[in-house]
Amino acid sequence: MMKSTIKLLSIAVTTALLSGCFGDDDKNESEPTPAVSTIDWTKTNEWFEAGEQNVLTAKETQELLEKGAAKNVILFVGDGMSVSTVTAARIFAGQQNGQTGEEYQLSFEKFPVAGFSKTYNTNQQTPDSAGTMTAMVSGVKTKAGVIGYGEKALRADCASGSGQELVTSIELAEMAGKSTGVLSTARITHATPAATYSKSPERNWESDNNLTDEAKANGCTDIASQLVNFSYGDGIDVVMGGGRRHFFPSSVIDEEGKSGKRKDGQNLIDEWRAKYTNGIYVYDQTGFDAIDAASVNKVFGLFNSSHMEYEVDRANDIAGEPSLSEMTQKSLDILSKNDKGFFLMVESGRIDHGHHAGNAYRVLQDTVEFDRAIQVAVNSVDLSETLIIVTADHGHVFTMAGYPTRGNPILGLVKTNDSAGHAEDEHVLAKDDMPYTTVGYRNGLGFADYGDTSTGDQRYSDPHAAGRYELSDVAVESHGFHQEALVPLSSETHSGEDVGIYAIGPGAQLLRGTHEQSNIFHAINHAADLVAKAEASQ
Amino acid sequence: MKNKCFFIVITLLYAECLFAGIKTDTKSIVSQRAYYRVIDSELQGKPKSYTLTVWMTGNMLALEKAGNSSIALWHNWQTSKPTLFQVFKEHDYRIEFERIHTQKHQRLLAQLQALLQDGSFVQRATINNKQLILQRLIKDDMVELQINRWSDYKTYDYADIGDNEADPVLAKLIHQGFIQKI
Ligand SMILES: [Zn+2]
Repeated sequence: MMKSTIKLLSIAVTTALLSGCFGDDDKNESEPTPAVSTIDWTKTNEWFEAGEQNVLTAKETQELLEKGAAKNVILFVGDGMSVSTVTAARIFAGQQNGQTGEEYQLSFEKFPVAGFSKTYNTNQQTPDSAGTMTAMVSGVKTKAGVIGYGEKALRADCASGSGQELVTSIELAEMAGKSTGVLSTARITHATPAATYSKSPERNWESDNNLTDEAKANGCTDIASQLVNFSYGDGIDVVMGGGRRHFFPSSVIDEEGKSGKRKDGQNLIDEWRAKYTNGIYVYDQTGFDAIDAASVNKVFGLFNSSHMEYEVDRANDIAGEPSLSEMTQKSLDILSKNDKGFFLMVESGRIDHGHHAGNAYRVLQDTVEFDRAIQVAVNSVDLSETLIIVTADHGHVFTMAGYPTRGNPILGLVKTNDSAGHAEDEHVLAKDDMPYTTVGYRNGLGFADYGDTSTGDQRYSDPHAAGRYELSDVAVESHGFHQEALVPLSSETHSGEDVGIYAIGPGAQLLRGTHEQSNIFHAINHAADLVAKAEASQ
Repeated sequence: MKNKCFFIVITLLYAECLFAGIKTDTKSIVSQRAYYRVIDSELQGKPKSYTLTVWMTGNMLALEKAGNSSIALWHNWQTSKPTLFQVFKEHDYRIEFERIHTQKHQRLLAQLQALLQDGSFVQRATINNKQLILQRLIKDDMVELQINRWSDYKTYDYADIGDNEADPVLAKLIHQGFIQKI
């Protein structure tokens, strides 16, 4: 068997060879003898050896599928982290490391299990984060824009949600006596984190000022107040992200000079402090750094008025804010003190925003920081009792195209190979005699060149510029470059193709294959036995 | 504190002046609206003129150009971290530009602030070779009412535009494009 495999690898493939290999005996005497390499590929080729090693490692990997084998669960969600984003980020990270990039492995690409997630909402082919995260944390698909209710609920219709309330894995984990945490670089009231702890038929009901009269009349409350009033177990233990403005009145200005949004006069930060008298509320890097994980069990961190900064811009934040990997480390240090285990959700929320703005640099830098946060988790937990899942809620219309030569800068203009397969010196020109970048967008605002001094999302202040632009003298690898887009829209859109699921730890094998996104909850529930443990504790 | 900040901001736009959970005080300035005739001699041919209205309360400053369907509105305009909103009058919608401090917008706000002296609007000014002549100055409750009305419009953060195409009005605005010219 091995022998014929070597033959297949080493010999130029011809029909003569194929028929030879499959043992046909009607050989024509006049046919030339197939060329055979003198090299022993099994011992001298890095791809061959790495592939063999991979098989041996896989054989050694334990499949722990018993119910409840996972004491801890960490769900990492890269918002909008399409497969193309993962590929580009891998190359970007490798190239930042001085490598050609393609061969680089992000932390989660070393996980033993990968699968696909079908992301559609019950009413939408290309989904949004509200419906997709509800599927992942409650095990039930629902409509776009709807958080924590089944598909019979109508968007922004409070009364229609009655009786459609779903139970989330955070609620179950709290009922089971586990510690829990929710982290996001977006507003903590944004759709993805909100789906872990709230029920809202409208993702935009982040504070009371956005509630409709119908919502108020029928008893719906805003997402921020649901977070602070979360009543399962002893409440969510660690909450960190942006979105401070949804927690205090519009008449008040915060530490970073920004007004609140609330119209009901409530200061939910004060309410949280009153509820958790031993807890710590922080709003900046200094406060964050001062948290002593060994002695503190409840943390509420709101580091920005709206979303937290992109990783590229983080150093420019007014009061300073921690990175996603720092937040992950601190959370794990706090949550892992509980003997009953923990459930932690970590969202990299701004990968999505970078894509919407058509700014691949910020997308890739945030994805690399997301990767760091995952590595922090891998380094910090016992993988024999911790299930780690990394996935995305949906993709984006971000593509990697052309035939760039190996090691071509991922954000650069395409340089192809010559006819012998060697890299060309100059970038290749398209039929319009202009060069083009490897990465780009199918739709959105399109081209802009703000150099390296741009602020994130600046693109929205200028009109869309779809189509082709002369890029020969443009710094296409800078922070402020926005890739070309075909269809002009004032915001680039999500995409409908599947996203990756990467898993390690007890129960990981449940996620092999192609899944409805809601299956992620069921894998978690089986691995950590959440429902039974929650019921047993009541 | 408030007056000190006001002074610093007027003299040095980028000065740091953070408020730690302080109630905003809108009484230090009399709410007013100023109608300026703008004569733009830069335009080719004969000079062209139009009306600009500047609305001002203690913490809001708005700029409305006659004929434009959108208004620029700055919240906390007296501080070093003003927030810019684009108000769409015809749709009762606002877009909040939380982090947009582009030089263009900073310059515009600084120019508007330069129209103020001792809490009131100047008679004449020249900005970018355009002459501004004060036509009318009205100090009444209408200013506060109008600005409050704009502030109550449905508001989306610009970073969330892409996630809200399901909103038919926003979808329409998305397809029109934002902040073309304020
Ligand atoms: Zn999105």
